[in-house]
Order: sequence, then C-alpha cells, then structure tokens
Amino acid sequence: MKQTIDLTPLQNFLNSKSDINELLVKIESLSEKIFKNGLEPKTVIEQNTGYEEGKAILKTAENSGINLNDVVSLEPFFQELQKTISETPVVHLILAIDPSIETVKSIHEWFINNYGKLVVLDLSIDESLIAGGIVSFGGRANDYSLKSKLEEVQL
Amino acid sequence: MIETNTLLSLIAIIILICATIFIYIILKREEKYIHSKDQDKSTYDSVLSDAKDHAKSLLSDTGKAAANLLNDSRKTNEQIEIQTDKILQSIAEKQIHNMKSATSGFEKDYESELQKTKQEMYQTMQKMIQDIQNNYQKSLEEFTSELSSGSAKTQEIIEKKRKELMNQVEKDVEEYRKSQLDKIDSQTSALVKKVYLEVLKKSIPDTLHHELIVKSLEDAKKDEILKL
Repeated sequence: MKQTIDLTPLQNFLNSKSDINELLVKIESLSEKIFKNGLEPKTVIEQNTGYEEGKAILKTAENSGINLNDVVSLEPFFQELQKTISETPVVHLILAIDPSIETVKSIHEWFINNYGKLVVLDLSIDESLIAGGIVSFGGRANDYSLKSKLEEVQL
Repeated sequence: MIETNTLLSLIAIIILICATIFIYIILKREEKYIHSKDQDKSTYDSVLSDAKDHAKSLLSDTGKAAANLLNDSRKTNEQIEIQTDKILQSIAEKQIHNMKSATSGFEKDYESELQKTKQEMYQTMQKMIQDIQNNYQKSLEEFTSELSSGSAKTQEIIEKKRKELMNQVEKDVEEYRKSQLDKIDSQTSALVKKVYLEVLKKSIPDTLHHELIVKSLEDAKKDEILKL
C-alpha cells in the first residue's frame, strides 16, 4: 500500500517516534496559525520552522500539487499529511556498527524501492553482532547477524 | 366704714398675737428637745465607759486564768512523763530478763542440733566417697578387659580405613586433574574464539557491513518479518 503523500522530502525529520510526534505538533500549530488566524501560509511555515524543515514541508506540498496560496486545498492537505505521518511504519534495527548517513539513506531507499513508502528507522547498536543485524517490525523479529550465523555453524 | 376698718385691724392684731405665741411655743419645745438629747449623750458616755472598764477587767482575769491553766498543764505533763518512763523501764527490764533466759535455752538446743547434723553429713559423705570409689574401680576393670580383647580387631579396622582413604585421595586427585585440564581447554577455546571474533570484526570493511545490513533486510522480507 502506497502512502497517499510522498514523505521523501521529510525523510531526515522522521528518524524516530519522537521525531514523528514533534512534526505532528508542529503541523498542528501551523494549521492553527494559517486557518484560524488567517495568516499567509508560506510566511507562517518559514517563520515557525527551521530552514531545512520548512523547505521540506513546502517541497512535500509542491510534490502533492498543492498551491500554497489556495487555503481551501491547503487545509485538507495538512490533515492528510498529519494522517500519513502518524501512520508511518516504525522498523527496529539492531546493527553491529553505527551506520553512516549514506547507509541510513540507502536503507530508506531500500524501503521505498521495496515497499513504496518511507519508514521510521528505530536504530540501536550491538557490536557483539559482528556484522548484519536484527530486524524487528510489528512484534516479529529475527536475528540476521554474522554472530548468529557463526553460532549456527558451530552447532 | 370706720367700724369695719377697726374690726379688721383688731382681727389682724389678734392673728399676729396668735402667731407670736405659736412661734414661742415651738422654740420652747425645740430647746427642751436639745436639752434632753444632751442628757442622753452624757448617759450613753457613762454607760460605755463602765462597759470598757468591765471588759478590761474581764480580759485581765482571763489572761491570769489561762496562765494558771498552762502552768498546771505543764506540771501534769511532767508528772505523766516521769510515770511513763518508770513503767517503760520496768517493762524493758522484764523483757531483757525473759530474753536472756530464752536465749540460753535456744543456744543449747541449737548446739545440740548442729552437732547432730554434722555427724549425719559426715556419714553420708563417707558413704558417697565409698560408692564413687567402687564404681570407678568397676568401670576401669571393664574398660581394661575390653581393650585387651579388642586390640587385634582395632588393628584390622585401622588398616582397612587407611586403604579406603588412600583410594579416595587418589580418585579425588585424578578428578581434580581432569577438571583443571577441561577448564584450561575451555578457556583456551574461548580465548581463541574471542580473538577470532575481534579480528573478524576489525577486518570487515564498511562496504561489507553495508551489504550485510541490506542482506538482513532482504532476508527479513523473505521471512515475512517486514509486512509493511
């Protein structure tokens, strides 16, 4: 199932569950300023978010074909964006090394290529795994580390 | 007209005379009342003076009587004390006399009882010592008898026990040696494994790490761990 809004521009701001919650609170605050106080959308976004974050939100809207001056179409977009973000799947990975930014990017890409959606990566490190990692999602988990492979060979 | 005036004058004179007489009478009575008051006052003073003198005399008499009474009372007390002392002294003398006679009797009885008890105790102790000596002698004889008959058996038991202990010691030494060798073996194996893993960990390049992470994800997809 594809995500209704492409969250790829927001990828760097969705690295953990707390990131998701923070972004949802921020979008709620932006909606209030734009739709209740009647302020200009672009200015509100630029003034109330960080530079990169603001750019990512604007790019996400642009990718979805939203005209920022059209408040009527902007309101359902914000609602849909909140829904899509809150439904973003969280994948837990325990890795043997602290992954580089490139490795994290390629993991995100792997999920987009294989599942067509952005996921939140909940990463932790356990050096005893030697290489590879433990993958866990929705209450199911399996150990694909080199350590477990060596232990299997020994048995 | 003239008669009328004369009559009125006459009436006025009569009224004036009457008023004068009336005032005179009142003044006389007042004077008499004041006089009688003065007489009463002097009578009261005289009575009060008499009463005062009488009271003084009474107080003086009472004081004297009280002093006499106190004096008499003191004398009576002294007499009572003297009499009481005499009586107490007499009682004490009698008591002392009785005590002396009673004590003398008790002392004799006590000495006699003490002598009797000493004698009984001595006899009992003599008997106890005799019994102990007899028992001790008997036990010693029994023990000596048992010892001489059992010495051969004892030698056998000691030899058997010695052999058992030797076997046990040899067995324990063997087990200890084996357990120590096993321990060394397992420690060596763990050390080799640890070194091997450390070397392996350091020798894996980042690209291979990256590939193995992606391979983990692909395997997880294949195993349906990732059901997104």
